[in-house]
Amino acid sequence: MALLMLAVGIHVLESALPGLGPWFKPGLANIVTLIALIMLGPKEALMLAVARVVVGALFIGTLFTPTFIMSLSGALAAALVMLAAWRSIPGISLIGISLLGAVAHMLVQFVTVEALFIQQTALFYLLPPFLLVAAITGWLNGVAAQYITDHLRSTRPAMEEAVPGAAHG
Amino acid sequence: MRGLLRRISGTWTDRLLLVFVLAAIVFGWMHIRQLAGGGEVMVDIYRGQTLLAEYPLHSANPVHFVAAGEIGETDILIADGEVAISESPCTGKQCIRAGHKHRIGDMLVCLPNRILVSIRGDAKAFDAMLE
Repeated sequence: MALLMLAVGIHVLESALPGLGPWFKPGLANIVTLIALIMLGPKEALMLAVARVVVGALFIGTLFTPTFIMSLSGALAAALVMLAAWRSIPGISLIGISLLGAVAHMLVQFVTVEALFIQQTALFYLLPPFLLVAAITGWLNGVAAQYITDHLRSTRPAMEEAVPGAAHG
Repeated sequence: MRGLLRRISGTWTDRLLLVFVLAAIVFGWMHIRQLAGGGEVMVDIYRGQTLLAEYPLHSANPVHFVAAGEIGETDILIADGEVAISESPCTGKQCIRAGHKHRIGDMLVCLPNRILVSIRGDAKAFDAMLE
């Protein structure tokens, strides 16, 4: 619950960031999803990602608007890809997981917008530069999430961790 | 410093994924640039602020347009997905030396003759996106 409120807080704060527009946000709220994935498990991380968007939309007042649908599709895609990466790619850290999540987020948002709102393939001209920025922010978010979980582990060594394929397999 | 570097550099798997993702983006970028030639890219020819003509950059037949400007006629050639100024009444001939252009956003300008040739993409989609 605390993680959810944190994620919602970051989500709402990000939507208020000036200058970046509705098209680009650093995706900081995803850091919380990553931490939840490691600390709580995949099901909780997925629920957190969805709940964050829904509750966040209630706060911002965008529930069921195009912005909301974009956020939801992106967050869901990112969470699912991150889950799959965490389970199936050996040797991957939160940095790689976050990278893949950010790229999936951006890709699915573009496809959603193209399919539902702006039926113009010219839209995809913008995709590569956006993906590039997503890859960079995804990496940096992953670094932050890794740092936080490492720190949490060292301060709370007894804390139970979600292990891929074991407790939540 | 080394600790920071280790922290931000990820595992070997992460780095491999990064290389893969970046390669895919670059490949996709090049591919999309090629697709951009699918009839949507237009060449606009202006005299001052007046639009004299617009042609698709990628038309089957070459286009030879003679633009009447301030001091004479500028010959503009659109062929093989490229546009160039072939003849100009100006003294500097900068516009001819600018060569062939093909990218969206590229421009050819003949200031003395007030002629501007610009390549644009599908403006409608971009306007919608910027809203």
